[in-house]
Amino acid sequence: MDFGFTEEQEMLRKAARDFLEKECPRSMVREMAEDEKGYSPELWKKMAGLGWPGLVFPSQYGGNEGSFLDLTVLLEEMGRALLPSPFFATVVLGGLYILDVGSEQQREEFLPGVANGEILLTLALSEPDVEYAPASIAVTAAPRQGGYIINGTKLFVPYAHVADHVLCVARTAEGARPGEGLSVFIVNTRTPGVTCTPLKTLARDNQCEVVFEDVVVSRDSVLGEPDNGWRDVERTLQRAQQPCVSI
Amino acid sequence: MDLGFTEEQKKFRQEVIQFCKEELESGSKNPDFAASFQRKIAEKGWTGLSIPREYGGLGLGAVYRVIFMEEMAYWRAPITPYDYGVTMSLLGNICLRYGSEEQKKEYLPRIARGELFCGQGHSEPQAGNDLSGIQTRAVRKGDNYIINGQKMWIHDAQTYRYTLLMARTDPDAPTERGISLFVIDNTRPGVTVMPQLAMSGQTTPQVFLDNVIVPAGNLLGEENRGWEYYQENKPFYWNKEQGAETGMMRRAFDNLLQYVGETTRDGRPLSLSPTVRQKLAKMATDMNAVRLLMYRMARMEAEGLDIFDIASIARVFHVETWVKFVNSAMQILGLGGQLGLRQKYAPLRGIMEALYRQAALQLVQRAGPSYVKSIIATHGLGLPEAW
Repeated sequence: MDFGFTEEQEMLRKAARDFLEKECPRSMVREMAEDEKGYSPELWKKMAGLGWPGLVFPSQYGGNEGSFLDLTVLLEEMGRALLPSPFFATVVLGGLYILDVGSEQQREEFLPGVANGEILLTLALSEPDVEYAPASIAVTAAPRQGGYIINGTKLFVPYAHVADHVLCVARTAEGARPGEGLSVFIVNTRTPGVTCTPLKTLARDNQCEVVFEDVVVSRDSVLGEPDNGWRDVERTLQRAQQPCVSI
Repeated sequence: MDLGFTEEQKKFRQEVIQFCKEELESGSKNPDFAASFQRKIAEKGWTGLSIPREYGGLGLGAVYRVIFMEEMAYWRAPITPYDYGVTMSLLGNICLRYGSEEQKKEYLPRIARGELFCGQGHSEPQAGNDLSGIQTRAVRKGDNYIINGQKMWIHDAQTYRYTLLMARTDPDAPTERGISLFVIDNTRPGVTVMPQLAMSGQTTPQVFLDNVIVPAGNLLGEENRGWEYYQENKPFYWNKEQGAETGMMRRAFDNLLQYVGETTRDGRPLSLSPTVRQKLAKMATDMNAVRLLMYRMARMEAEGLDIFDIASIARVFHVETWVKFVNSAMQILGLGGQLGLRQKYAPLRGIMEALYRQAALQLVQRAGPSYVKSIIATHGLGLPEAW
């Protein structure tokens, strides 16, 4: 069936399919289902070598200037191969978010690493009583000595156990409306007080509990506008829906 | 919801409920709780609920058996519904209707005392739903049969001493006419039970039969009539199994209702969400329709009426309801629903994740809805045989 893809997109699809048929056979999928990391760092390196994590990013950050549709073509092939990897979390939930609203300094700090496969990212939003809506987000980030101190628990965070940085949606102020008073922080998972534990979910798909216990972060780690982050989270979620379908 | 039970039936249900509550409260931490629970069930005579008094049973009708299965499952009692279903409704009924007097005296009192349980040795690698294609052979030699073959998907086979085995005794007869039923002792030489784990977490082992010598007296009823016996009695078996599954469904529903009443999500009580309320109402509607059909069927069985057609319809409706039920429940539970038993953060202690996997299996197991629909099309609607 002809969906009107460009010749380049068809080439990308074929290249991705050939690569994944060779590199991600069923045995690999089965092995990864039992694996502690849940993905293969070796395969990830090869994918990075093909420029996949950098596909949608501008060339100034080491990317390949691809379109969102190009990315969708690639994700569909990953889904076809049942590829277990932190690609979606890193690129769609993390990288594109930073590209969207990050300061120039943040973009330069994270995006080249994302593009070359050295940095893994993810987004921590849901909580025990929170699915995707902002009203009752209970993880807090209290201002302290020029930075913030984060406390609380996030759930169902994809691939947090292998991520280098978690984008954490936290309450920084009480707001009159549900989305107000929320800020997003880029938190290094090696920061003292951060604990990421894989949850045993029905699909065994590497979703984690992330606990923040007196985690100190600097003011520079705020992604986007402080106290007004929800709008950007929502945009990221909306954008994530489409490739989610394609996977 | 009042489904029109008699006073005696209501009293019996209360007695079962009371028993389960007391037993589960007092001893469920005990390591041999399951064994002692089952012993007490047998002492009460409930393993022989519908076996005639002359063979050591209580001689009560099919409705009692469904009530028993429903409440046992509701209280999550440590019995597997399959063993009770196969043993009571297949072996028990067939033996009672077609067994020799000797067989009745041999099997029925032991079933009534809770000493004999059997697995269902019917399916094979090449014969899942359509059992007329079975290849396991039983050849008569003097006073014995020599049996060879392979059986699949026998729920909990490793826990049973016996198997109700379907084997071909006349390879030249038309497929359905050359089949017989045997009661096989699994400890006989040549019987090998090989464990196999289903996605539901239940075991569905394979059983291999290698030159197994079985006394001719273990042939149930007459030779080459096994298919007929099975066809006639499987609706009774479905009915009891349905009792168990409906009990699980009712319990899950009650748990869910409580959860919805206590839970706030995204800043709002779940009980006020229009979507959640619509889902719950639909679940209750279907669940009670399933129960109505099920008890109607049991009443018809007790009155000696033909339940084949209603059993097929009930079977399809029941399984499809079950699948929709767990699906809706999962949507209500949200992200937490994907966490299983004993997992931190799991709502309803993770039970729905397990039921979700079990329900998915219902679609593909023996007598799944698509197979039963094909029976309805042929027998119920009179359409020509399609396969």
